[in-house]
Amino acid sequence: MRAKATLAAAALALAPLAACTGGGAEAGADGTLTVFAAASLTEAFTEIGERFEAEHEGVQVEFNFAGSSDLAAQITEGAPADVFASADESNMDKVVEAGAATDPDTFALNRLVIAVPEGNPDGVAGIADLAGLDFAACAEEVPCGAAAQSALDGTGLAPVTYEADVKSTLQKLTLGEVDAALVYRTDAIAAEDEVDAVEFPESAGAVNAYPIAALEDAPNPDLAAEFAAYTLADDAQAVLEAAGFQRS
Amino acid sequence: MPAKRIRRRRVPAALLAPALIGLAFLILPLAGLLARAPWTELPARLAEPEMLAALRLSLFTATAATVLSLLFGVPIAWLLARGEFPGRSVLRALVTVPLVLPPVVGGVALLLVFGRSGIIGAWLYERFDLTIPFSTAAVVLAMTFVSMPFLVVSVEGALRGADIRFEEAAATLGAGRWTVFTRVTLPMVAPGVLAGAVLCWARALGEFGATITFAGNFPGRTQTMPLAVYLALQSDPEAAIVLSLILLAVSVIVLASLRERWTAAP
Amino acid sequence: MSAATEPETSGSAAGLDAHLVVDRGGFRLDLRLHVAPGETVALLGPNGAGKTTALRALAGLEALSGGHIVLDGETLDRPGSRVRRMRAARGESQIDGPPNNYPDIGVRQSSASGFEQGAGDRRGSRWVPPEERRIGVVFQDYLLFPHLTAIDNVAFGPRRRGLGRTEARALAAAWLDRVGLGAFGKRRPKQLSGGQAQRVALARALATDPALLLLDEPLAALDARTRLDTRAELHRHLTGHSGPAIVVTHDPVDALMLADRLVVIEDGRAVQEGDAESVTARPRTDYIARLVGLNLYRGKAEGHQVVLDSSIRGATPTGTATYGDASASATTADGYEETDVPEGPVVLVASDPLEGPAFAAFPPSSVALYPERPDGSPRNTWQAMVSGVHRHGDNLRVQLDGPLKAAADVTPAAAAQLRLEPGRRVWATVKASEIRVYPA
Repeated sequence: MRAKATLAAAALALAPLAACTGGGAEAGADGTLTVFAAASLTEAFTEIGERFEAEHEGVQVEFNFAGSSDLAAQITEGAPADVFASADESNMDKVVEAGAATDPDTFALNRLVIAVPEGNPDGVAGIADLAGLDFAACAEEVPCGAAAQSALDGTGLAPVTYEADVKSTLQKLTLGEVDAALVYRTDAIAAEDEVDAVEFPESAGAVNAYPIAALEDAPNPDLAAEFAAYTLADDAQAVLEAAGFQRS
Repeated sequence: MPAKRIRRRRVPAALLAPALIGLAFLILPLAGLLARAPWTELPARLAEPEMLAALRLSLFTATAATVLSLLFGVPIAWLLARGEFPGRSVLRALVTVPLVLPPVVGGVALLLVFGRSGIIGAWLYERFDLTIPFSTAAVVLAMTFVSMPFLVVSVEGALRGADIRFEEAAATLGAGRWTVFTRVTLPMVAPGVLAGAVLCWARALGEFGATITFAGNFPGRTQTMPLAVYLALQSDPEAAIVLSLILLAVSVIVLASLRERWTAAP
Repeated sequence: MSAATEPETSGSAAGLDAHLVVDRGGFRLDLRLHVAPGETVALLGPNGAGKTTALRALAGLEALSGGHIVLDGETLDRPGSRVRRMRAARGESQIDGPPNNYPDIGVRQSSASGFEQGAGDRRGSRWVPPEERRIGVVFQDYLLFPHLTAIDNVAFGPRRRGLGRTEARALAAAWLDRVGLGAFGKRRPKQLSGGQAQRVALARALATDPALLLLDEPLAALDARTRLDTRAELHRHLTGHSGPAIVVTHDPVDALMLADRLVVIEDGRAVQEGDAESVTARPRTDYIARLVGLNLYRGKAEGHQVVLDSSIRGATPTGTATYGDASASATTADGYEETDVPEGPVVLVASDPLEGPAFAAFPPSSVALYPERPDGSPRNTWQAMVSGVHRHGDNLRVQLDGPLKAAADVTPAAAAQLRLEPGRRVWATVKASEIRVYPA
């Protein structure tokens, strides 16, 4: 008797949780598109989403912006998403390997710049000028870090900190804790009120490709494919370019 | 006879059911980690110098933060429990701010004070060419900031529960205020202090947000285990699981052996 | 030292000279105490009378609002006539102002003792903090430090007075031996019985060689059996103590057994003072009368007669005594009177003559009860109604209502014969020779 009552109580307690997870998937049926996109795409994709909604009556685009690896993990664990836009190819590869997506398209490129305080007080003109300065870069484990590492290879330079993502790398600069930061061009442009971006030739070998794909288990497969295609169209590309991305 | 005794000790179902559900909720995620852990990778991970450096750094900084918290937190707790001055309740609320503040925000706040252009940090930088961020000291500061409230709250509770008359008795026996505090008050609230210190240490060991924001991430210097775990999660989730299990195991061993020693004491 | 200008403080009078004035909210303690070296005084009084406050003031755990404490010629507490903070500025005191509540001193005193308002304080005030007073205290529930063993508890005081660890321990061991607990040094307070803990507490207080010994309800927490033994032992130690000692208690037996002199306090004031005999034989308040088991009345003596105050608050010794205004009715001036006379003063007739305001007291055992009006001699006869019957030792104590509230002790046999039960009407008599009359 007692054991049964306990089980019943447990079932009751868990029931609302189950209901919660069920609700999300259903929403896709009535014209809602769920896009998982890399954090660096926040500004550009918000704009693109609005344009897409304007062109598609009754469609609502919802974004989940986060680090690409977090998103890839969520998708492979079965999160109900329609589209995945990654900031690097390796995380898209994980999703493809898991069978959650096929044939991703590269819709944008992002390259590193040296972000410096406005007015460039240390007169940084290239990567070699970072010698003697405190600078921040992303950790190797994240996309911007892999790019930074390849740019720094052979220079003998090392940052004072390997940040977990590009936003916090830039933040160390805007807070005045470092003299320079290796960040994406798009991030430097987004913060152009506070920082100047110094382009450097070595970054050519350290370009990040941004792939996008409609997901296999998309609750809204048609809209998903349409959105993925839309990011390659001129309209969306213009938005991306304004944000500092380059055409692929 | 024994049967009767067992009967009397039986936990009422109204308590048992939620307790079991709660325990399942706390333990199942751990079980999930254990199930997913690539055990074959463990020996290789354990041999990695970077992992060992992160583990060593974590244990050292968490312990240092606990010592700092004891040094400053116990007096704060005393002030809150025994002091009578205007604004005490406000002060008590302020002390718990780090508990509710997202640790990342706490890290930014620390930068604004101790950073190169922070209120105190700027002066240190100009005067002594000293920068705190991106140093091991910064890790300890970040940990102390987020974990000291646990100690303060715990010790304050113990102090409030302590009977002041014992202190009066000590005074009549010739003990001055400092002696009363060290010889009577502190020993009597020792269990509370210990509980607070354990909580503080555990919180410091798991500290991530404030640390990575204030101290950055540099292997061997500021990369503690949680940071290593988080970064590993970006590229190699299975490695991250192994790392977190190692951290978990070490902390459990440390706490268990500590408890052993304390309870074994006469 | 300016304090020397005060007569009470001058000289090197040994013993305790205290005038304790503590104002707190609606309560005011105002008590003068003089205790000679070697003398033990019991502060006896009901709960809330101010006994413990007096003791705390003496120990320095509470500051005086007025008066003084002088022990063996040294002033321990004397609040200035206006303000106390002056003396710090003049460097007269050893320490900062007195605390309102000891452990909070540091943070509390600024608001508690106020700020100087002028230099009107010519006598000079003084405050010696508790840790610098040579006063040993045995607290009500002993307050043995739970984290220390018995021997370390006893050694605590000597250590603070500058003894080394080994010497302090040796001294503590000697004291434990003296209270018969030599074998219990390693025990923690939790592992001691109530009586043992009491003795450790006593040893702890005595080990500091105090000039004044204070005991707060030292036996209250003990069961009857332990109490008997412990009381005898405590008496022995009090006798051996060469300084003054004060025992706070609400138990008259403890007071009578332990003390040379009783000071009875009620509502913060001394209401009676004297040796055990005089206090118990001639109680001056209802409280003491009840404690010592006497029926007590206040009135006016006119020769052999005592005319009781019109609204009599007869104190009857029950332990659960009922108060009330017994409307005077029965016994009229000639001592022979009608049952149902509603008005008129109640008069008691005693053998010893006296004039003026007086107390009249008689023990319950002197009251005789009859089912019918008795014939013959007793001068004090009245009709009463039984309002309660309780066991009292081997006898029964009967509460009587009527013109004169009183308690009477009867044997169970007599009670059965009289069919005593609440509501029953009986006749009560007391012989004149049993009534003690003394000036109020």
